[in-house]
Amino acid sequence: MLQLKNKDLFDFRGYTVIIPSICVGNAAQLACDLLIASKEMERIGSLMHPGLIPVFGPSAYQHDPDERVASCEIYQSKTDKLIVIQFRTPLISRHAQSLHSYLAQLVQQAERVVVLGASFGFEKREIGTSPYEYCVSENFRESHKTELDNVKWMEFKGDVVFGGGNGLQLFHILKDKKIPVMLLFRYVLEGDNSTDAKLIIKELNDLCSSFLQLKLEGEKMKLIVPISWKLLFGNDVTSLIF
Amino acid sequence: MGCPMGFGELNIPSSRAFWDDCDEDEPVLKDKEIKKLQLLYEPNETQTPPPTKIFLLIEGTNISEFVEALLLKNAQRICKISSSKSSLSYVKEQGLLIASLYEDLTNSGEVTELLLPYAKEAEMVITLTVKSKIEYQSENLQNVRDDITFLRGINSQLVHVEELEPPNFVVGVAPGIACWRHNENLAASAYVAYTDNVSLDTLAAKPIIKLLQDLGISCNDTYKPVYRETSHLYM
Repeated sequence: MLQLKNKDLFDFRGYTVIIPSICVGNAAQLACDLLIASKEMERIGSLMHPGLIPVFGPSAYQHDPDERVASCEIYQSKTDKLIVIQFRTPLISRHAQSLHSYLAQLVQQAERVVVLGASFGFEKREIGTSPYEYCVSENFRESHKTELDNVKWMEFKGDVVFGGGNGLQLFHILKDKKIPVMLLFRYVLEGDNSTDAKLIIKELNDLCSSFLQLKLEGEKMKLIVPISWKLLFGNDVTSLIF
Repeated sequence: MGCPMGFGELNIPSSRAFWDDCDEDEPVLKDKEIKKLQLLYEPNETQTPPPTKIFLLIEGTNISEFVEALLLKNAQRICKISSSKSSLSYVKEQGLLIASLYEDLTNSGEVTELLLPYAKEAEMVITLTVKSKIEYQSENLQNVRDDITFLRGINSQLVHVEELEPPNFVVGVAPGIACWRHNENLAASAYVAYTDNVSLDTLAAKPIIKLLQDLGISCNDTYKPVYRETSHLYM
C-alpha cells in the first residue's frame, strides 16, 4: 500500500529512480542514506507491504526532523529529477516476488532505474580490475551507449551475485517489464561499509553525471552523514550486561 | 566470510536480504501459492470494527498474561490474530479496542494489513512495544542504567515521556499501525517500554501501568504475574 503526501504530484516520468538492494554490508542502503541526507531530499511517501517488516521511529535525517521512519520510504529531488526508494528492513521471502512486482509497477513510467548492490569481496575473480560490475537491460544499453562504453566497470555475465541479496531478482523483474534498468554492484567485505557507501555514491557521480548530478560547491561533492548512523555498531555492551 | 564447516563443505553466508533465512541464490519459484493469514473471529462476532475511542496495541515477546490480567477482565474477545497468542478484544463501556500481540516479525507485515480496518476507524491509536533494555541505543546509557523499566515515545501525548531518539526505532505490528496512522495524518502515539524483564513482573510493569493510566486507559493499579513452578526436577 502506497501512502503519498501528495497524490496529485506523484509522477515518475522523466525521473531516475535509485533502488538499493538489501545486500552484503547493507552497502547499497548506506549509499542511499548518504544520497538522501546530502541532497536533503524530500520525503514524498512510504510503502507498506506484507513483504516488509513494519518500522516506526524518529527521523533518520537531520534535515527532516519531523518525519518518521518507515520500512520503505520514497524520496524526491525535483531539481535533479531523482527518486530514491530506501528500505530499512530485510524482506520476507515468501512475499518478495509480490513486492518486486509492486515496485516494478510503481516505477513503470521512470526514465531509468538504477539498482544499487554489493557482492562478497571474496567472490571477485579478477584481481586489479574495477571493484564494480554492472548489468543493464537492452533499452538501458541503447540509451546510454556512450556512457557505458567509457566506464571502467566490468560487465557482469554470471547468474548469481553472491551476497547481492534481492538485487538481481529485482533487476530481472524490471527488465522483463521493459523498464530501462541497470544493476550496479561493488565487491565489499562485511565490516564498516560506510566507506563503501561513500565510494558507491562517488562512483555514480564521477562516471554517470548524466544520470545524477551530485556536484556541489564546484566539482567537490559534500557528503552529509545522516543522524541515524550514530552508534552504527551499537552501544558499548559492557555497560548494560552488569 | 565463508569458511568450510567440515571437509568438503562450503558454507556460503547469507547477505541479510531475507528475514526468514531464504536461500537468495535459489531460483525464484514463480507459482508458489501463499497461504494468507486471517483473523479468526469468535462465534457470533461481527467483522465490522466497533465504535472505538482508543485502539490500544501492546506487543512483546511475552506480554499476553500481562495484558489479560491488566486490561481484559471486562473485555469481549473479537478474534484471534493469526496465532493463538495474539488477540483482539473490546471493552464496550470504554470504547476501548485492545490488541494483544505476540511478537512475530515474519508475519508482522501481513498482520498489520489485517488490522488496518480497525486502525482506520479508531479516534485515537496508542501503541506500546515492550523491548529488552539491551536494545536501547544511546550515548547516555548511564541515565537509564538503574531503571528496571523506562519509557520512550514517538509522537508522545505525555510531556513527561521523552521522545525516542535516533538511531532507535521499533518494529512489528504495533509500530506498523502507528506508522500507517502517522502517514495518514491521523492521531497516533507510539510508546516503547525498555525493560530488564520482558515477561514483566510487578516492578517492571509499574511504569507501564502508570503510562496507561496517564493516557486515560482504565486498568488495575498493580500487576502480579501468576507464579509457575519452573523446576523440572521435582513436582
